[in-house]
Amino acid sequence: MIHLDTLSRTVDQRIRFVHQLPIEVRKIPLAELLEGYVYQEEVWHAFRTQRGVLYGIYQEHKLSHREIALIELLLLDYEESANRKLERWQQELIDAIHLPIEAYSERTKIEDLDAIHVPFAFPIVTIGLRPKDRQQASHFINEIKGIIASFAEGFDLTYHVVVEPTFVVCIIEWTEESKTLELSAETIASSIVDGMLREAFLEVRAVYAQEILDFNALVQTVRRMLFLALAAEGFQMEQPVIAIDGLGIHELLYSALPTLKKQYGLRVLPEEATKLLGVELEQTVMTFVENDLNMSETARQLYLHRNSLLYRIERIKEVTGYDIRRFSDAATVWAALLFHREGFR
Amino acid sequence: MAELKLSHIYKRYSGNVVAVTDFNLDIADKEFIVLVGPSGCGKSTTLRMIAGLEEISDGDLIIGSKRVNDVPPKDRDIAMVFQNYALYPHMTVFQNMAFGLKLRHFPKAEIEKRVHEAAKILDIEHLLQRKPKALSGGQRQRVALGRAIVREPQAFLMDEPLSNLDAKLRVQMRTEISKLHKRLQTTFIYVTHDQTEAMTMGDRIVVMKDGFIQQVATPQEIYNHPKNLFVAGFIGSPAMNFIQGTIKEEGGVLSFTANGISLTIPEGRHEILRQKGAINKPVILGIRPENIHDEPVYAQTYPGGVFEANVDVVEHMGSEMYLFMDVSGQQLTARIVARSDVKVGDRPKLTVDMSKLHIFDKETEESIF
Ligand SMILES: Nc1ncnc2c1ncn2[C@@H]1O[C@H](COP(=O)(O)OP(=O)(O)OP(=O)(O)O)[C@@H](O)[C@H]1O
Ligand SMILES: [Mg+2]
Repeated sequence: MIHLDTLSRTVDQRIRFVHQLPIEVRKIPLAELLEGYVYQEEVWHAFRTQRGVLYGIYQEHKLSHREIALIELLLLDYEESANRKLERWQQELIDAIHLPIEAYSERTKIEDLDAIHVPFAFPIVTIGLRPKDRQQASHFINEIKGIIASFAEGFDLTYHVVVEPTFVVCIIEWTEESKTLELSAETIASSIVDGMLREAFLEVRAVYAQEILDFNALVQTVRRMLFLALAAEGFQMEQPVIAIDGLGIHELLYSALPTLKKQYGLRVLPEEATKLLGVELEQTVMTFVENDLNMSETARQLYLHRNSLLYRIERIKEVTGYDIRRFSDAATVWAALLFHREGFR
Repeated sequence: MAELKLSHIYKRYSGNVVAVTDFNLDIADKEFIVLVGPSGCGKSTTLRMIAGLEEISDGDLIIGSKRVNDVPPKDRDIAMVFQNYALYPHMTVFQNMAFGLKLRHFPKAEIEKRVHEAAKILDIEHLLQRKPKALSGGQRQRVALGRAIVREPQAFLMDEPLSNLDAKLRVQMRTEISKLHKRLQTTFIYVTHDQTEAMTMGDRIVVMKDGFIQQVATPQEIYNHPKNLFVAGFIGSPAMNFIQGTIKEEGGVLSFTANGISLTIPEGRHEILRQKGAINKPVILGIRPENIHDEPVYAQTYPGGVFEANVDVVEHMGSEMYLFMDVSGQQLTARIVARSDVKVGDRPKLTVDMSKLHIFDKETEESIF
């Protein structure tokens, strides 16, 4: 069991290990780093380990070839202890997820950050995955690991998974090499969602975030990803793949207090109104808003004649008092519908 | 290959939404069934219940001879092709098609065999080493189908698989899917809102509305004998003309009378009208645009079917033309041969082919004949 600082002590503190490289160094191809790359009078050296790449920095000429070989040898030992550390950083993320989410908070604070060794190198891309139907959680966990593993193999990227019964975070090291694959976090997320649907018949929602640079940002991102997944779930949004900043106003609405949601929702759309208008209300308003209040496009998507759509809109106005052809009325009714969907939770 | 039986199937969502009501359908082995209907009628919900993506609230779903309500979706031995298929961008066509089999730990030789067989059926053998980026839209669609085919499922479920393609490709893929069905000899269940797709592809069509089955029949039967007003109006393009009026009896002669139009009902139809108590009752007459003619020979055959109408718009469609007309405030469309010299503003004599007439009960909207 050799920790990194022990490793460093072995060679008289002449090397230190980092997980994060300065931007300039990050641009250097891995092959050159494996050889030892000189930057600001220091040698930046990449050590390939089973768990990814680890970076060491030392002053030129202070380490002999034999010492480097020794470190490489000892790193294999380090691998063994990495499992324990893996549990540790994973625990940090799980704790972060379990903090109450009134709204995700920028204040998420993690003590003792520097002491945490993570089994991957930054920058990373993360993809948060959650089953659409929570009752399917057990299937979800069983299937998602297989799918991610098959993908990671295909992508030839390093991956790590943090598991919570209904939330899995896939962490992908975003090296120069992965960038040349012309992949994006979005395509990987879509592929995983699609794979789950087709291979396991499970509907999954994914939130992705690109280029996370340090552990603190990772913890906050994971929290935010879960928040967005819950918002999308509450509002029954259709899109299965969401960018970390892609929920717009929904995010704000989701953070409103439940009592406020209920008061507002029932004032704008009382039970009588929703009962009277039935499913047509939701279908009409949602499609109309999605199409920027464009009548022809909405009619087309609903396979309705323009006049039938007009009739529906007039009827909504009659029952609720809101004329959804006006932007502010449409927004008002739309938000109330979202709260109804969510059941004022 | 399997038969499917859906028996008294219901889908209820919270908030009193009933998406599917008392759905009954027996699907034969190797049959191509199309579910069609307007947006929100419950087509996707029905398909998703068969796939197992959605729980069945009530009723029995039987595949082969086994009740599968509680069988997990991936053990139901079916494959689903979705509207938004994402091919895995970093994998070749071969790897894309092999993915699911590899995941299930199929032996390598078996994977090779199945992928090559499917590729041959789809005529994409020469593309196996390409990445999706280097494929055309139609080729990608075929790969998407290939991923389902390699699983050799008992049934294929497809939910609007063509709706993201452009019009030309859609028509082409329609034929391809029909051919594929013949070659695979497997049950297909296909969802679309496009009645043309339904009519051209299905062995039988299930027309749905508001969660209820309206009619299940062959395309021809649906077209020629729609069970009710909704089916009559939904199937066919341009849509069937409807005129509200009454059946009147005078000296043993039955006629349909509405504002500005009176048509004599053929004798062969008298009995059914009497039987259904339709005389002196408000009814709706239905006539398809292609069953209104302007050639004099029809006037001789059906003298009781002649009427006059004001032509508002004429649309030339090549070998035929559409007349959009007004008969005392009721809009009518006729689809006639392009030789005709009818112009906008004319008031031609037209004839309804009385053998193709439909009468619906105004109250129940059910077809009388
Ligand atoms: N999760 C849900 N909760 C409540 N209602 C739902 C849910 N999913 C679907 N519905 C409702 O069930 C009905 C049937 O929906 P479905 O998606 O099956 O329609 P469809 O026939 O496939 O329509 P489209 O042509 O638009 O795809 C609709 O009224 C829809 O609003
Ligand atoms: Mg649908």
